[in-house]
Amino acid sequence: MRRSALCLGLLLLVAIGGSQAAGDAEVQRLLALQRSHGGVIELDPKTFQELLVGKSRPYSVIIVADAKDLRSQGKLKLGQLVSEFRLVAKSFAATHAGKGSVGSVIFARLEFSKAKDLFGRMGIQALPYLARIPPSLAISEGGAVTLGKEEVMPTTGYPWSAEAIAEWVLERSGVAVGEIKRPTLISTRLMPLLSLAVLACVAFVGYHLYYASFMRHQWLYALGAIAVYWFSVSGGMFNIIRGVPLVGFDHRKRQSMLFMPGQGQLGAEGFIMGSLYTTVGLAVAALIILAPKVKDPNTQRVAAYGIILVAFMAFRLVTSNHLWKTGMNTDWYLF
Amino acid sequence: MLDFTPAGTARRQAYGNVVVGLAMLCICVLASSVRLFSVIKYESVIHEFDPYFNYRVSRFLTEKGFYETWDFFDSFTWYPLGRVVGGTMYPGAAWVGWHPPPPPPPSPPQVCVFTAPLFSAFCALSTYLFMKEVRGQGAGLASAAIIAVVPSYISRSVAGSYDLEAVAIFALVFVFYLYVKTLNTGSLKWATALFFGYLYMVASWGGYSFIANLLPIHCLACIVFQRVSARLYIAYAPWVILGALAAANIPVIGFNAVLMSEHMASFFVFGLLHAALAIQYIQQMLPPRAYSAAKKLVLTFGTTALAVVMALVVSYVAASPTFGWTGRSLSLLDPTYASKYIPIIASVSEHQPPSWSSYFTDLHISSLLAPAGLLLCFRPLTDASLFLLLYGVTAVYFSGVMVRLMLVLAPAACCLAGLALSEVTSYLATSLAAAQLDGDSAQKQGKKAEDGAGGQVADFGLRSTADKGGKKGAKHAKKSASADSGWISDTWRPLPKDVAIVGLILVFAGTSLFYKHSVYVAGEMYSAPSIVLQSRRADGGIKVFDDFREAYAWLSYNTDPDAKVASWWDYGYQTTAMANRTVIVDNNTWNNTHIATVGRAMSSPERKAWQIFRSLDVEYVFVVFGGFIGYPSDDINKFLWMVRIGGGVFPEIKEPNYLGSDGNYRVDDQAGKALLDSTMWKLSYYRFADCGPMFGAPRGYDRVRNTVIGKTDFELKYFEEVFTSEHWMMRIYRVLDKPNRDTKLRNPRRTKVTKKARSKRRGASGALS
Repeated sequence: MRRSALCLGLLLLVAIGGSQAAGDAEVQRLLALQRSHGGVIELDPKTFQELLVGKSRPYSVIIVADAKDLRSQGKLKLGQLVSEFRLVAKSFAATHAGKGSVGSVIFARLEFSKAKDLFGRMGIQALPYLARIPPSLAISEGGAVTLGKEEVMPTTGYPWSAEAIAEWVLERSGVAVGEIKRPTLISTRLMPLLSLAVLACVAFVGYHLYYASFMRHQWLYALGAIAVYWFSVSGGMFNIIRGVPLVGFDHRKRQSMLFMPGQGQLGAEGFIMGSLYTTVGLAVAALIILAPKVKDPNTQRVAAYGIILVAFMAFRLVTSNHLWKTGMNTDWYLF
Repeated sequence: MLDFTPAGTARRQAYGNVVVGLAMLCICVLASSVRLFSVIKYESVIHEFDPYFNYRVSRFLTEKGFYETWDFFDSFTWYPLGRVVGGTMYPGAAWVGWHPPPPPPPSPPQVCVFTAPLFSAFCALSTYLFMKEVRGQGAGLASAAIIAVVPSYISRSVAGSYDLEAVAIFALVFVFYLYVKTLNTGSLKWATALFFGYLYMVASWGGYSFIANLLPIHCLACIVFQRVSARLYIAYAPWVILGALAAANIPVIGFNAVLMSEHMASFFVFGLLHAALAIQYIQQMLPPRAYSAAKKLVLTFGTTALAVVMALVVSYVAASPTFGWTGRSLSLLDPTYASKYIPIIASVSEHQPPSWSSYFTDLHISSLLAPAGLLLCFRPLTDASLFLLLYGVTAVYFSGVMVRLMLVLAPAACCLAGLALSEVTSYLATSLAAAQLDGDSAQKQGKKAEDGAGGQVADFGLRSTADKGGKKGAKHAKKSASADSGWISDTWRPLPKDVAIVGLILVFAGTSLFYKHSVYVAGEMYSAPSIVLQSRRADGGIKVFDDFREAYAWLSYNTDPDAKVASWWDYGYQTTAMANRTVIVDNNTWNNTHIATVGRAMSSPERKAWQIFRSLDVEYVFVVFGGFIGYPSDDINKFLWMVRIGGGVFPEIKEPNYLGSDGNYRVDDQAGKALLDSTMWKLSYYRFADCGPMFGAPRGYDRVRNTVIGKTDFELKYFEEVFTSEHWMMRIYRVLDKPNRDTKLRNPRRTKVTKKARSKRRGASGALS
């Protein structure tokens, strides 16, 4: 009895050892694949098969979903998400390099155009999507991958920073990602020298600009003043501070839109309206500055009418758009 | 025909001046009367929040006198800290509100209510004077006519809006006028006046720092473009020194006048101006070759010395252990930083960046004409028009960051638009007059009139002297035209009559639309005092919501005079001024931690809030609630800011806990758990579901959020409802000494829906369908 138990124990040990060795080789291969993909494995049906299909795996897989077509949507910030995700992967690799824990978490990206059916199999309905596939989850070939609710990162607090992702990874998989090292543009050591050089360059350029003849032209400054004006009345700062996209997307009509109703604005909308504002002003300036100098009376009449028409049309457009935007129908108060 | 003898010209000049005077009188009357809508439509009350503080200071000033006010310590606010009011306020507006006979307490002194309309008239006058200095009477009149009714300025200066900005915009424009006047005349008399004007500006508004930076920018531009003169020196140099002294004498600024970085520019340019003048002097003194040698020498030595100093500084900085170039230090250069990341600044709606529609709503036609004004500043470019140009460009840039700074842009936009309007009207009218003269002279005798036409035309317009050289009249232009090539010539010629008429009609139409818009906006948008609300009933009558004053009156008559009242900081000034009770925080947001403490109490569960309030000796807490009548700016809508500000100091408060599972702020059954447990939720919605549903709306339907609230039946354990105003907008609670022991009792109205009953009900509805 006792001997048989011992035998069984031994057998088990050997079996586990054997499978561990096989698993190790598998993990090493995947890590090589991950390195060749630049830190994050790009999932397609083939890599999905290699990485995930099976009864269980010796590692967790963190998957971020991405879609090329939705990158242009400013609010989603997919590009930022993926770059933060890569940062996490890189930090993880750096922290665990040479340790046994290096293969315990694998990072992968799922891109919609390359792996449409995988989106369906994983039941991804909306982006942003970041999930962990736990080691114990059995995934059959071609079958659906059903994840528990807790394995999908909650969308509160989006956009996630690399630190937030790292914290979540630690919480789910129990493995710390380690310190996130953001690449700085220039090393801090070089900074003083560089700033000195920049200062010298600025001084040099400034000195030469000061004596350059073209800097004496007033139209240069006039142009600058108009540009600043145009940028400000376009709500350029609004676009920057709120991070609004240039063009929006109307989900009901399923098409892009330039103008959005209600409060706020879209980037392009602001710039169009700012241009209309400036057009009226420039037309009036043209009437005062250019029209008196036209030589031929008939040309002058045509030019002046043209300028007035441009100003009038731009004014009409501004008032009608403003009415549409704010619904502010004013009243004469006379009757 | 007109008389062109010297006597005739003088007489016409005199008539012109009388007409200008009458026009200015009309403009001033208009500027004041357009701001009286609030008194006519509502009543003669002080508006909003900050004016109540100014009113309190004015009252104190009247009762105690000037010097006592300087040392005014207010123990009624920021309990238990108190506030050194004398040292932390801009007293300019309060000085105006000094009223000799103390009024009976219930009605605010009329001088406070009508200060703003009066100063708007002064502002129109100073705009006229400013633009007269920049370009002439015509531009002055047009600018004054625009600024009198520009909506942006109206928004802060309707009757009852006894605010800093109401007097400060006048002071701002007046300082600009004095500066330009000094610049044009070079007289020390005006430089002295500039000092006094600046003193009043500094005493009135924190926005004086805009002037403190704009004047150096102008001076710097003058130096760069080699426009340095003795007049510039007289305008700028005394202002730097005396202005800094003036600022240092206002307690709220004090030594900041020489220590803060925002004042540094003026001193730097002061030095630069002296250097530029010294160089000019040396250049005059030395022969050219000696001068260039000296210049080379100075440049070489200067650069070497600068390089050595820089190397030392850099090596010192690099050697220090705390060396680091963080994003934070760079963000100081970013003007958008505050409105993005500092919650207490970002929470105020007027600190948001404006979208394009705000410009048209607030400035209307002046935002369209301003670019033309910018270009016209270059024709010709004088010191004064350079100043206007710089003012316009900087103001429009800063207005893009915060809606609030639209107020600084308004005078600039009005001046630029006035310039454009006057020039275009003048050109069209001159063309019309030239056509008239042409017709007349052709009828009489051709030759004689031809010579005179140029001079006559030039006399018609209000154009500046510099442009007059270009006006040679139609006939002269024709003669010289053949000499030029292309379709553009250098001579000025009038437009044909029909174009001029069409143009004038359009200018008139545009200005009329501007007036229509402004008067309408003044009447409908900016006149609401926000302490009294109105809405139209279906039968056309007006319904008045006077809940705020009702609740403040309740507090003042029914609570102990020493009672401490807690609320969100928006209502602090009103509570001290109207209920005359001590508050914990108010609109002067000087202590972020204290505000965060109140935010933390409001966002914590009842027990914890009770502990916090007890520790602050609070006896009454009130919340503003709009769910009953649909008043959107209530505390539930402001709640996320309380969470953010509270969470900024106390990390245990986490915003995500207050959001629904989808990451949105919502109050229905998907609401975040922390929100449902928060004291703010309980004080706002306590017994709300029992007050009876609106037409067919389900039980517990919130009319602001348009949803049924997530939790309807609960009892309060640590607070007791003592007063709820007529429309439920103000709800006052007493902080109990000991926790309530009745909370476990069952709510008699509540009917618990069991599973059985639910399935039964479902079956019944199925049978019906």
